[in-house]
Amino acid sequence: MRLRETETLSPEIERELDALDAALAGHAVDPELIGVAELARELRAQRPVPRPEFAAGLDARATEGFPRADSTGPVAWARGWIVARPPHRILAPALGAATLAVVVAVAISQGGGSGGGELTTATQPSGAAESLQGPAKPAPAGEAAPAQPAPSDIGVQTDRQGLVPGQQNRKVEQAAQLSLSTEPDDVTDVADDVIAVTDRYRGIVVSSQVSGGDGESSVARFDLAIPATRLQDALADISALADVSARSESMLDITQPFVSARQRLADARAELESLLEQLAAADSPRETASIRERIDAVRGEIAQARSQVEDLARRARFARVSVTVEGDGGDGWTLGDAADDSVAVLRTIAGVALVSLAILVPVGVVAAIGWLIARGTARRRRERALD
Amino acid sequence: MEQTLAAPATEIPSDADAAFEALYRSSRDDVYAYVAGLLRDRSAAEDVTAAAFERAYGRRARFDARRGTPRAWLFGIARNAALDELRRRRRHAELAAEPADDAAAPDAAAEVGVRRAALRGALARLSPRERELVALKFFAGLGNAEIAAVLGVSETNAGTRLHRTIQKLRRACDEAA
Repeated sequence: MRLRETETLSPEIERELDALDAALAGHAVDPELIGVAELARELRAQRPVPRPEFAAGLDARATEGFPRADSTGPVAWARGWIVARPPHRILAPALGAATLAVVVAVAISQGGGSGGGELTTATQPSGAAESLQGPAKPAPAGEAAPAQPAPSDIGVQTDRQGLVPGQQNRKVEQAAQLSLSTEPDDVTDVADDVIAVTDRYRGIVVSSQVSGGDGESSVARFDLAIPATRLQDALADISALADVSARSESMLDITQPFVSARQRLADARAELESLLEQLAAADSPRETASIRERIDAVRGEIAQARSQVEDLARRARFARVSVTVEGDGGDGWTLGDAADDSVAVLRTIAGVALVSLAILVPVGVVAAIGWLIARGTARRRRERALD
Repeated sequence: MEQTLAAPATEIPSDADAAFEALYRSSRDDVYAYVAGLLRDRSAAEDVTAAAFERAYGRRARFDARRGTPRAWLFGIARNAALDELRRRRRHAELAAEPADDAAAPDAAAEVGVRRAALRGALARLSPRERELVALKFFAGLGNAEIAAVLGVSETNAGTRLHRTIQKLRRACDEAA
């Protein structure tokens, strides 16, 4: 049984141990403990003595610094280098190297994610989205279309309510918002380039507005209609005109409202034909007047349905693109910009450090636990050799 | 202040080298005696002793005076080497180291000869752990505090174990007499 540190030896044991030490040192001992002293001396006399040849050989090796037989080769050299150094002189550089490696890896992975640009995805304003979206359900004539959920900042959204199973030629409405940033003096040039790109892709400038100038905070806003099949190419060209500060895209499936509107149009036309036949067969002025009244109403429905079909088809053919070109309003790199950049750099460093810690701490804890387990296991195995 | 047995980066002999040299000179025979007493095999004891000093020399920069004396550190290394040898062999050789004076003294008193023979028999019947205590205390000449440091137990525990072993040896010798 292992005694605890706080326990003390009994006086009798202490006396005997002291007698052992005294006997080994050649000092006199208490006559009562003469037997213990004699045993100590006898045991000392049993002491194994090395052969002179072995002692001489070991002395020679000691003089040479105990050269190892397997001391050649890089592995042996590395093992010797590690063993010869105190743990703190190995752990500190090893931890530093590991930290540096993780930080570099995290920094590279973070930098790779941004693609080297400043492209970000912004939430699309809900009002703008609603103006581009068609109704999810066929709206009765004269009623406002129900508001659609605003596209999320994921960038691409599909309205599941608008899906019509089995429809091959689906109608999808696309929209995009693009914010460009440039020098104030360059806003006008960039605005001209936006129009040129729109023309190049046979798009339509639905509206445009350019304000400011002379170094003040200039801004240009465009509402473009770009052929949906060439939207991505057009966005790429517009994005290349200046720094992209925000960009978002959304998609909305309008197949169901399109099909519904087209069905209403077909029904109304069929009803009109029927009414015209009834009108030809009418044999009284009163009946004729009643049919004509109904024909007028059906023609109104036809016009409304046709307009709705054409509107939905146009929304599917053309993507609405909102472009904002902003001048930053400053003259070069100011102290404020420097402060902003400093905060951004510190924030990035803090983020990288946090991610690095999130990696290093668990790895370090696992390594420490593994080391302790391995050390304990090795110790127990050695101790078992004495059992 | 941390004590060191390490040599500096340069290979010029230093105080640290001198300290290890002194440790080697003062402990060579003690380490051998301890290992031989534990293994009971002269040839294996020589190999283990050499390996222990080789390891100690390679690790001399890792010595930490806060953990014990240089001798306790050295015997800890020797103990690990000896236990590794025991694990490898899994056998216990007979004690090869017979005291030279016994073998070379046929005219010694009969009573002394009988007593020593009884002691050798008692030693042979000790368990490896008990034999290790005897080797550390009486063959290597370590103090109780150093023994405790080598075994990784408290000094009180080491003293109690040593006392029990001595009592066992005394009983065995008395029975033999």
